[in-house]
Amino acid sequence: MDYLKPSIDKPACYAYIVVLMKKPASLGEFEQIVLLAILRLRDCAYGVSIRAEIAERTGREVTPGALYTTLDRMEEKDLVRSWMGEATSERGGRPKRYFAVTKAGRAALVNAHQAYQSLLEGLDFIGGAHASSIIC
Amino acid sequence: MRAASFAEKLLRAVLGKQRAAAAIGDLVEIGRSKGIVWFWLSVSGCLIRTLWRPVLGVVVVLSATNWALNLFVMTAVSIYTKHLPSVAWQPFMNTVCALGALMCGAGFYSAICYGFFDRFTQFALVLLGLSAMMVYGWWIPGVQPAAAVFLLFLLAYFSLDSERRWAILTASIIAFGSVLTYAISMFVVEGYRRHFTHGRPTGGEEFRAHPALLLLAFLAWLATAIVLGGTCSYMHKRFKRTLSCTQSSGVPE
Repeated sequence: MDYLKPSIDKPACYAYIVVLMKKPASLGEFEQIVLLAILRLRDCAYGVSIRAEIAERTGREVTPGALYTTLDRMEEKDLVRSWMGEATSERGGRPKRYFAVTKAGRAALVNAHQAYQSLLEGLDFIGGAHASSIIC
Repeated sequence: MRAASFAEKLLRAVLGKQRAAAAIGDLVEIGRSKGIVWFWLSVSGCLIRTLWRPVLGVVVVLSATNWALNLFVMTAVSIYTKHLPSVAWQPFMNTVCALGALMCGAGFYSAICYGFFDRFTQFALVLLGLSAMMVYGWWIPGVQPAAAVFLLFLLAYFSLDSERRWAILTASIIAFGSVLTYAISMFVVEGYRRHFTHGRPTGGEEFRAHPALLLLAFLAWLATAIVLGGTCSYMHKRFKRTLSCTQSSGVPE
C-alpha cells in the first residue's frame, strides 16, 4: 500500500510547492514604467538616464523625488538592485548609482503584462471599433 | 557647488552617504539646464517624500499612545474603585495598560510606514486587541484564562517563520526601549517638578507658573515616540537587509 502514501512528504516537494505558491510582487503603473525604462537602458540605467528615457517614451516629466522613492522601494522589495559607478566632473565628482532589474522584477513585469494581455484579449482596443467609441 | 554640498549634507541624514551623493550628482547633472530653483525644489521633494511617513508616524504615535493610555488607565482605575481587586492585580493591570498603549502607537506607526500586511503591524495590533480585552473584561469569568491561552497561541503562531519571529523580537525591543526612555525622561521631569513645586502635587496653578513643566512632559512623550518609531524603522531595515543577504547568497541571480 506504499503507493497510497502521498509523495508530498519529501522536502524537495515542499520546496517546489513553496516556489510555485510564491506569487510575483504586484506592480503599480509607475513601477512598471520605471522597470521597463531600466530594462531598455541595459547597463547605463541611472537616475538621469531613467528619467530621460521615461520622458522620451511616455512624455511624462518625472520629479527626481518620485523616481528615487520608487527606486528605493523597489530595491527593498528586491525588484531592482543597485551599485555605485564612476564619479564624473559634470556631477561635481559624485558617483552614479546604476540600477538593474532582478529576476523577481522581471517575473513581476511578466505577471503584470500577462494580466494586461488577458484583460485586453478580444477587446480590439487599439485601432479597433472600441477605440473610437471609447475615445469619443 | 556650495548649494550642492549643503543639499548633500541634508539628504545624507535621511538617505545615507552613498545614496545622497548619487542623488545630488543626478540633480547637479540635470540642474545645469534647469536652474537653482528647480534644484532646491527637487531636493525638498526628495526630503518630503522620504520623511513624510516617519514624521506623520511619530505624530500618530504621540496621540495614539496618549489616547490609549488614558483610556486604559481610566478604565483600570474605575475597576479598582468599583470591584476592589487584590493589590497584586494593580501592577499586572498597569503593565497590561502600558503594553497596550505602546502596541497601539507601534501598530499605527508601522501601519503608516509599512502597511497593514506587515507582520509587525499585525502582531502589534493583535496585542493591542488582547490588552483591550484584558482591561475591559478582566472581571468576567474566563476572560483572563482565555487571554492567556490566546497569547500562547499567538506566540506559537508567530514562532512559525523568521518574519513572524522577527515581529516578536521587534515588539519586545520596542516595549523595552520605550519603557526605559519614558522612565528616564519622567525621572528628569519629576526631579524638575519637585524642584519647582517643593513636592506638592502639580495642578493648573503650578503649570501656569512654570510652563516649562508642560514642555518637559511633552518632550518626555516625544522622546518615547521617537525611540519607538526609530526602533521600529531600524528593525524593519535590519530585517530587510538580512533577508536580502540570505536571498542573494541562497539563490544566484
